[in-house]
Amino acid sequence: MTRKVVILTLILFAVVAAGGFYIFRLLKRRAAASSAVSERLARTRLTEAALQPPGAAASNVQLYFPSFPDGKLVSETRSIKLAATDTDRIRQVLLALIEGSHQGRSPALPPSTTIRGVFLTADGAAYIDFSGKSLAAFDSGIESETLSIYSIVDSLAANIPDVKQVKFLVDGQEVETLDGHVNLTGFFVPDLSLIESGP
Amino acid sequence: MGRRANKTNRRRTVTKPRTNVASIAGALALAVLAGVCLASRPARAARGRDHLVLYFPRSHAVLPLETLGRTSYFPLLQLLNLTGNVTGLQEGRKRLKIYYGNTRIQVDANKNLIRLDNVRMKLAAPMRLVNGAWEAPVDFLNQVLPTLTNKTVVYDAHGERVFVGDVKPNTFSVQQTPTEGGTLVRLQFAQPVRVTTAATNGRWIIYLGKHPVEPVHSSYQFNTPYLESLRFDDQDGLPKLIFTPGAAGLNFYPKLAQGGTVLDAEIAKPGVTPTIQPMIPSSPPRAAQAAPAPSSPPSAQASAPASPIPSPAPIAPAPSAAPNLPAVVLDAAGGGADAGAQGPNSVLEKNLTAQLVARVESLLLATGRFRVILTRAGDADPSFNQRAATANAAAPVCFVTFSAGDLGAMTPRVLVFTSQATAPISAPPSDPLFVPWRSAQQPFIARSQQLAQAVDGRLQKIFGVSTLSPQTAPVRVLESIQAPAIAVEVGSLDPATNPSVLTNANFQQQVANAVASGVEAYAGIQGAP
Repeated sequence: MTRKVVILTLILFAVVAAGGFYIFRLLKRRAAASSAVSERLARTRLTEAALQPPGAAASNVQLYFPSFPDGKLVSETRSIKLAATDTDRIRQVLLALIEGSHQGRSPALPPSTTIRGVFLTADGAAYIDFSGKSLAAFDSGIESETLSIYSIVDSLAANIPDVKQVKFLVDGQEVETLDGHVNLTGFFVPDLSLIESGP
Repeated sequence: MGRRANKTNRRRTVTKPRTNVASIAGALALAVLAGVCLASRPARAARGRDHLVLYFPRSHAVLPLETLGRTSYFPLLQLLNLTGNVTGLQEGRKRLKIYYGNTRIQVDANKNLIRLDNVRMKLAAPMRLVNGAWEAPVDFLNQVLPTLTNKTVVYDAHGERVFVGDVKPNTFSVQQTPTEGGTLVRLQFAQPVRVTTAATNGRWIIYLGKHPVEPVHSSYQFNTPYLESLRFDDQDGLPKLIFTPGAAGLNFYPKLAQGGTVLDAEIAKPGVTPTIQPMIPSSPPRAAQAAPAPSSPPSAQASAPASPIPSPAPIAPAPSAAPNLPAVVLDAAGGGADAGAQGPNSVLEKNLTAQLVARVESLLLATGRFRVILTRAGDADPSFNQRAATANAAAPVCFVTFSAGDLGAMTPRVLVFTSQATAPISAPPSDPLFVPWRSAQQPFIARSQQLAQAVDGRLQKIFGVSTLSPQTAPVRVLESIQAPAIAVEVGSLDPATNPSVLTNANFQQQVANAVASGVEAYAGIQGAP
C-alpha cells in the first residue's frame, strides 16, 4: 500500500514538474516574441526621435494605412517635428509607417522593416532601399502588396511635395515583385483614387 | 546564433573531464542511435514528383504526389477537404488533430500510428510534416479512407488514381493491324465513350470525355514506321490517349463506331486513302461535346459514329496543328519552391490556386466552346515571362490568373483585378509586328475591364463571400499578356484568420462556377462561338 502511494506520489510529482516546465517554456517563448516586437518598435521610435531636430515646431503629417474591408487607404494624422532635409523627412514618414497605425489600422509594412537607404533626385524621384531580410514577414498578396506600396507613395507625396514618384529597391537591387505579385520594376506615382474619402 | 551554441557546448565539455565506463557506454549508445537514425532516414536521391488523380461519382480532382524512396506521399488536408467536411484543426508542434465530420483524426509527424476517435490504425509508412504541410503515405488511401468516408475506395497504385464511392471506370483493349501505307489501331471500350481530338508537340491526343478510365496497360509500344507508341494518361484528371507517330508528316484518321464502344485510329502516309471513313465534324465546334486540349488542330468531334462521308478528308497531322476553338489561358500563381502566401494550418497559395484552376478548367472544357491552356503544369514554377509567352502564343480570348493572399480579417473574400493603365486607354493594334513586352497588356485594358465586370458580377452573387468592384493593380503577371486579362485573388491568408473555408470544395466550386460563367459571358460578348 505504502509502495503504491510512493509510486503515485512520484508520478504526480513528475507530471506537475513536467507541466510546470512546459508552462515556463511557453511563457518564456511568448515573452521573447513580445520583447522582440517591442525592441523593434523601440528602435524605430529611437530613429524617429534622432531625426527630429531639437527646437523645431511639430507639424501634422498625413499617413495612409491600408483598409482591407474597402480596398482603400485611410488617413491618420500624426504630429512629427520634421527634419530639415527631404531625405530625412522621407525617412521620418517611412518610420512612422513602420511604427504602424495608432488607430488600429492594418500595417503598411512589417515592424521588422529596415530602411537601407533613401535618395531623392532633382526631378523628384525618390529611391527607397529596403532590407530584404526585414521584408520577409510581409503578408503576400495582390491586394496587400498594392495597398502597402501606395500607402508609402501617397504618404510621401502628401508630406514632401518634392516627391513626384517613387522607386523601390531591395538590398540595393531592383526586384521584379514585392512579394510575388506586384511589379516593383517601375516608378510609382501617387494614386489619390485609393484614398478613402471622408464618411 | 550557431556560434553561441558551440561556445556553450565547449564550456560544458571542458569543465568536467571524466572518462569512465559509463560515459564510454553512453557515447557508444549515442553513436549506435545516430547510425540507426541515419540508416533509417529515407534516401533523398529517390525523391520525385507526380500526381494523384481522385475520381468521385460526378467529379475528379488532382493532388500533388511526392515520392520519397519507395513511398509516395500526398497532402493530407487537401485530400480530406475533397472527400468530406473538415470542420476544425488543432495543430501542435508535431501533432495534428483534424475534426472531420463527426470523427476526430489524430496524426503525429514521423509516426505511422494514427487515431480515428479512439481507434488506432497503422500505416505502412510514417506521416510527414514538411515545411508546415502534413503529408500522408498513399497507404492511407486503402487503410484509413474507406473507414473515414464510409465509401468504397479503390486505389490503383500503378496509375496513381483513386476511385472514391460508386465509380465504375471504363477500360479498353488495343489491337493493331498493318494497312496499305499505314497502320490501324482498334480500341475496344467496355462502355461507350465520347471523344475529341487534339495535337500537340508532334503527338495526336484523343480525349475520352470525363468518365474515369482504368486501362489494363497504360502504355503500348508498336515501333512501326507509322506509329511508335500509344499511351494512356490522366495525370491532369482528363483521360486521354496519346499517339506518338513513327515519323513526321503522317495523317491521322480517327473514327468512333459501334455506338461509341470502338475507336479506330488509322495512321497513314500522305496521299494514301485510309481504309476507314474517319469522322469529321458534322456540326460547327459549338456543338462539340467536350473541348480539346492546347494546340488542337482542326479536330474530330463526335459523340456517336459519324455518318458515312463520301470523300474522307484527313485530319491535319500534328506538326502543322492549328487551333480551332478559342483558347482560354488559366494561370495558377506560385508553384514549386514558390509556395506564395501562406496561411495558418499550412494552407499554401500555390495549392489553392492550382485547385481553383483545375475546377475552372473542367467547367470550361465541359462547355465544349473553349480550349484551355494552363501556364503551370503540376507543381512547376514557370517565370512570369514563361507564363506570358505560353499565353501569348495561344492568342487566347482571355487570360485569368489566380492568386491567394492576405485580404485582411474578412474571409472568404474574392477580388478581381485588372492591370493599371499607364496611358490613355486605346484600342489594340490590329496586327502588331512587335509588342513592347512589359506593356503588352496596355492596349487590352478596356477589354480586360469588361471581363473583370463579367466575372465580378457573378462572384458578387455567391452567398457569404465578400467582394468589391473590380480594382486595378500593378499585377506583374498581367503586364505582358497580349489579351484581355484579369487576376482573381481569394483570401484571406491572413496569419490570424482561419483559412479552412478556402480549401472547402464547395467554396472553390462556387468561385470556379462564377469565373467560368463570367468568361463564357465575356466570350459571347466578344463574338466567340
